[in-house]
Amino acid sequence: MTAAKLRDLAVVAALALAAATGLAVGPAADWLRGPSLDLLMPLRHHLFAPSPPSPHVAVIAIDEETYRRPPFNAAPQAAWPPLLAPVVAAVTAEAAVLGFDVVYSTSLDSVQRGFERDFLIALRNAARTERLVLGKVQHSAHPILPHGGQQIAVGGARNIRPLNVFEDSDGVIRRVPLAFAAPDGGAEPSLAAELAQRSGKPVQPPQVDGAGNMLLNFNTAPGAIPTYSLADLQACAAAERAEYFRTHFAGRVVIFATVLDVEDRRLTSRRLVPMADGAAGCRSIAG
Amino acid sequence: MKQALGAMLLAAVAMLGAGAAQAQGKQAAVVEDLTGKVAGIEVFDFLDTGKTITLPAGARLVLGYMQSCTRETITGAGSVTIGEGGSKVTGAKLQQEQLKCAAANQLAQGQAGKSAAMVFRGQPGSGRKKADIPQPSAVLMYTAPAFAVAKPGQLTIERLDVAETVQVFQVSGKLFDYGKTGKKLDAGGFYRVELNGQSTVFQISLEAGEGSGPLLMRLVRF
Repeated sequence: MTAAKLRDLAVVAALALAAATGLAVGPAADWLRGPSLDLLMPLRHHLFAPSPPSPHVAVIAIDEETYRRPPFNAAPQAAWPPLLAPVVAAVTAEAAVLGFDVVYSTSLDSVQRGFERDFLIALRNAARTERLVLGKVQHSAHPILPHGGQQIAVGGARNIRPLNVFEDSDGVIRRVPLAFAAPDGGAEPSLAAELAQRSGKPVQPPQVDGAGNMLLNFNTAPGAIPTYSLADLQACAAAERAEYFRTHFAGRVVIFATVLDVEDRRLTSRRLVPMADGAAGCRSIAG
Repeated sequence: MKQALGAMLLAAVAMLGAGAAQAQGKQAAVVEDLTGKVAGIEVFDFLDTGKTITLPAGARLVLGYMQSCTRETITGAGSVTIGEGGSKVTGAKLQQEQLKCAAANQLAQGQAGKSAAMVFRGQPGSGRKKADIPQPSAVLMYTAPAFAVAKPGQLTIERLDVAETVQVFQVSGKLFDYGKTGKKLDAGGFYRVELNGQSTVFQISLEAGEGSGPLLMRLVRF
């Protein structure tokens, strides 16, 4: 190799080193941190064997099937709480804890006396055994809270936790706060942290950033988190199939949430791995 | 004609009913638990202020007050009158317990923008998702904005976060003072203003003062 070629190589190497250093410590580093985390998801998904489904968690999904099927299709969502009552009762009889990732901030009880009585009784009974946590959200000065009757039924603030998540500057959610500053100066656990504490399982303290946010990881294997359609579970509960709820929810952390085609979609690192949403139910699994 | 008359009668009855309900008071307390036969109430009835309950001997009534988060356990014979934050009890034994009310959190930067939740509280689709609203060019500290006008034209104000009627004004001069129309915008609301093909988005601060104030704190430029 001639001296001129060696000099050219040295120049290229120096430029590459300078560029790499600039990317690693310069202003671009912050911008690249998020996408680099995102890329780890598809890399791991394609290079390594999938992790087994979680034996500790399950999701009850308000899915498109729920909207299509009677009796849910005959009423707006705000009128669904009476339909939820038997599901809440059946699940909390078996689960370690049930968390609400949906907020019913209004009540039709003012229109029809006793309309939500069964739902409130189910909430009260579950909360008395520490097996239920409702969610609240806050995007401005005033939080969106469960209706006052629900707050009373669950015994007040001790069973209501914030659902806010942390959004990076590029609009992607990669972190979840473990706690929020409470008005009294203390710390209030997020719903996710509260559910983990009540799971009855040993929980390793997760690594957090300087603001107390936990980095989100995802099990990208198909069906990693067992998901059950609310419509199916409501039919199951109405048929008093307690053994089904025991088989599928005993000892688990159960999250009641929406899994819809349009609403409640959030950008996360999970978005780069193809996934198929699908909810199972007692008809399709247990026959 | 008969159908129309029937509908009007029904509407009138509904309005009278609503008026009567308002006159009785507002929902203040919830029956959390009930032991014994008590006329007129059941578990998880919502009770209006002013309602009086008569408890027989041996009865036990647990009430939860929604505003004050006070839990009351009332036992024995007596009468209970529902107040706004607590009961007036005569005869029976009253025990009070203060629950912690669910309240607002102090959110750090980045925590306020998103939640992983769905809120069910009315007809969906009545407003635009906050994520779809453009970044406002100004946050005004008063609910009556003033708009810098380059040349006369038709000025429109459109609410972005809630479905509302678009407001239209013919403006001239150098400044259009919305406060002089006698109207005001909502604190916290996002709006788009358009004039002569130019538009901008602004927000009224949640802490905004009522009506007009210093011009610099409520001025919108295109």
